[in-house]
Amino acid sequence: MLGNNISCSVLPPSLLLLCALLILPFSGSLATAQNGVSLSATLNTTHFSIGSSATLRIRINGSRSAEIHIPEIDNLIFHERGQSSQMQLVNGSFSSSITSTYVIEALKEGSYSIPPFTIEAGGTTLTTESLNFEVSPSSNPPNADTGSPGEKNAEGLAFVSVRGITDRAYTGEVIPVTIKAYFKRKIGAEITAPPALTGDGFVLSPLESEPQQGVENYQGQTYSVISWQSAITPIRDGRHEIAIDVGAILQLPLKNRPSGNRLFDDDFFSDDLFDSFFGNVRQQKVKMQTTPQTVTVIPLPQKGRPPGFDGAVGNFDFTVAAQPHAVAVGEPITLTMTISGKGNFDRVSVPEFPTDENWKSYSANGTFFSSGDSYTGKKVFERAVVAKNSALTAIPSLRFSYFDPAKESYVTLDTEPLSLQVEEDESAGENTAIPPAKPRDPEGVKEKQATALRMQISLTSGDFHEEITPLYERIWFWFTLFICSALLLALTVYHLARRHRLSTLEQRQKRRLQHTIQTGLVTLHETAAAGDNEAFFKGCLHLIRLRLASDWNIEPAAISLYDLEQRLSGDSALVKIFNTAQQHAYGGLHLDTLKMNALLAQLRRALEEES
Amino acid sequence: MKNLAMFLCMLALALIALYADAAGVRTPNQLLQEANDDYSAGRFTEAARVYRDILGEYGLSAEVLHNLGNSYAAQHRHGQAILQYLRGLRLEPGDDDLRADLVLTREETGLFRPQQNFRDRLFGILDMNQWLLSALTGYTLLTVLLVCHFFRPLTQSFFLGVPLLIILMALSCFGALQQYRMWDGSVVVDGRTRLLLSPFASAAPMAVLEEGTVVFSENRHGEYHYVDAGTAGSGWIPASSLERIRTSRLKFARDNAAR
Repeated sequence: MLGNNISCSVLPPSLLLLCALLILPFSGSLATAQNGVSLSATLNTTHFSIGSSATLRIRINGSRSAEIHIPEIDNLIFHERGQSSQMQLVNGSFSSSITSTYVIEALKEGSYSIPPFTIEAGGTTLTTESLNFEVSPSSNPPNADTGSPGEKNAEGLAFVSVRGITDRAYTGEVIPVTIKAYFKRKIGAEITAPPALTGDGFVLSPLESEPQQGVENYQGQTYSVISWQSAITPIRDGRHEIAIDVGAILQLPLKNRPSGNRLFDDDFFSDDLFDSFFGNVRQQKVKMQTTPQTVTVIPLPQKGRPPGFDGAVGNFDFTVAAQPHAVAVGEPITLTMTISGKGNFDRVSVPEFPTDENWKSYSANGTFFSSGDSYTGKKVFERAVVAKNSALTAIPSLRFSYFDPAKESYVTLDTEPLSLQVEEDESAGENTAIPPAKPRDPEGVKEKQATALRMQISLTSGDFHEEITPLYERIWFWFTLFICSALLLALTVYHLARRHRLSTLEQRQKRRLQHTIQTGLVTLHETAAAGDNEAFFKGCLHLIRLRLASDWNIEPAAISLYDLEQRLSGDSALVKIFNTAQQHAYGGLHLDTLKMNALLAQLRRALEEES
Repeated sequence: MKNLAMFLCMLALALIALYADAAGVRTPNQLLQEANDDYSAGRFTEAARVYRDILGEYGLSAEVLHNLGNSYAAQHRHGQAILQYLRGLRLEPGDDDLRADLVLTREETGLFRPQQNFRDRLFGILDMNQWLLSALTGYTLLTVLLVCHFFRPLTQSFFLGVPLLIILMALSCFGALQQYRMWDGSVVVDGRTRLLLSPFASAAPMAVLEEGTVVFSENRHGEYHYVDAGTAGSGWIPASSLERIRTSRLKFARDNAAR
């Protein structure tokens, strides 16, 4: 046990002697007898790092309960991990003790001292001595846990390695790699970022969706391992430094679990899940990276590069099959070209069909069939070809070229010509004007049509243009738009202005009429007061006509009683007043002032209603 | 005096014609005849060269572009043939012969157009310039109608004509928008051009574009264009593998000089 060991006796010697004498008959071994309450406070280590912890164990002998006052210290956290008590009865000798355990976690490196603190136990107060220890910086920095197993830090909790990278490679060469992430057995881990390539000049093939998991023993320690099979491909020549990154969240157990109770030292309780459940872990996000490796990427040699080479690098095999073997002229034959092996299949393109006027070939489509990864398998192309001549006896040889990085040279594979039987096209009849091809299928007919059409070359040059321009880039387009828009805008403005002007004129006329009617009513009032029947009725008629003429848009003098009766309702006051005025004019009706005022009031109301 | 002036003018014209003849300057029709003779004799390369000379010297003409396309098609240079046909159609969208040759060349190279829905077929009747012209015509007619109505109010014709013209304009604008992107495309003129993941030569290819494929350039980085190739996806292809459909006489002249 590393650390300080403190013990002290607080009972007077006479009492101790008395106790000893009392216990002596019952005890065969007084060497372990508890003479009183004693205290020991120990640290399991005087040096630990950030991220680790120390255990403070306080043992009080001779008491079954204690009250501990842990002091508060800056940058130190004391996690109480419980109290255990022990009672022993040996040969009639009884002893008891309690042990309290604390896990100390430091937030900052440096030298620390736990000052003496008091413990009340068994009715006495005990004081510990000061405890000193040092905290060093983290020995496992979150994102520096790097290296292949050979370079692994002995205290590393997790690291990532990549196997298979070579020092030199050719552009386009597929390099299979195995990426492994190692986690210490007792550490829970969750992959947050799958392996990614750091560095230019390479691409990493898509990873398997389900990485493999296992356990590996490395340097005497057991690690949980997650591994991915993939491949990297250089895409640019030169010297490149590459590394693989993996992101993870580690569930680090707080070190030095209290070991006072042996029950909890069992493996079951050391499990991550158990720790996690009881909050004995802390999560740490880490980004692990392999040691950068320098790879020299060599460009594919220009010398000896075959004409049809399309960038395929690897080791391939090439076969061709044709179906059917016997056709009539113009009938399609399906060529199935299979390129199998290991390499960069994304650069494997369809082998060209030789240009020959006796053959017509169509574009091909290809499908890749993987053997478990992106660089092993076969790529199958299908191309339709049509024999245009019955004299043909074989499908010509096809060629596929690739670069073999193992041999460091180009390899060209030629297939054997496939025998073929081409019969005359009976349906072609007399259509043998275009030897040697005698197409019979619609495609052939189209071809003839095409040739015929293309013979229809223009004999006149037509109109010449300086350039092909869209309409919206021509001035006249915008000019026309502008003229039309300007015209429409001018019309709208003019129309609005006219409406506004008319509206103003109408309102002015209305106001003038209102004023005339008001003035007329005042005059009528004066006339009625003077008892002048003649002027009164004349004024009434004039006001009624003025008012209605404005609405009916006719001359005031043209309005007669008949018009009023026709256009207004029969009980209208205006009709009655107009009628009374007519009776005065033609029937000699005479009204006194009172009646004239009553009639004037009626007229005022009627005119107001009408307006 | 007047007769003397006329005589001098005629003399000047005759001298110019003589000078032009002496200097070997040929008219476009003479050049066209020469190119057509080459074409008829199966000298397609020479015919193409003369057609290009005409285009570089006198300007772009749908007929000459059509002949040039035919010359390329006869040489199995399908990318160039499709490019010239498309250029011709930009100038003469209604040229059925040109359109038929384009379709046949595309079929020969295995290029196909994705099946079009009703909207694409409807708005594909006319090209962008035609839709724009239709919209402009509708707008002009609408203006004329409104002006006439202002000076002498129209009744039935006005209330029938205005909505019809507005519908025509809306359709035309929509059609022009639909055709806008199609109009400014480029054609892959190199056989088996690879659509690359990144803009450098050794980048991984994603697809192979057949000669004559129409693509739309969306970005440029150095000597590479980032293009949308429709069903083949998007990626980078070398600028040298592409030719824009929009072109000018000057470009032909420059290319001819460089050649």
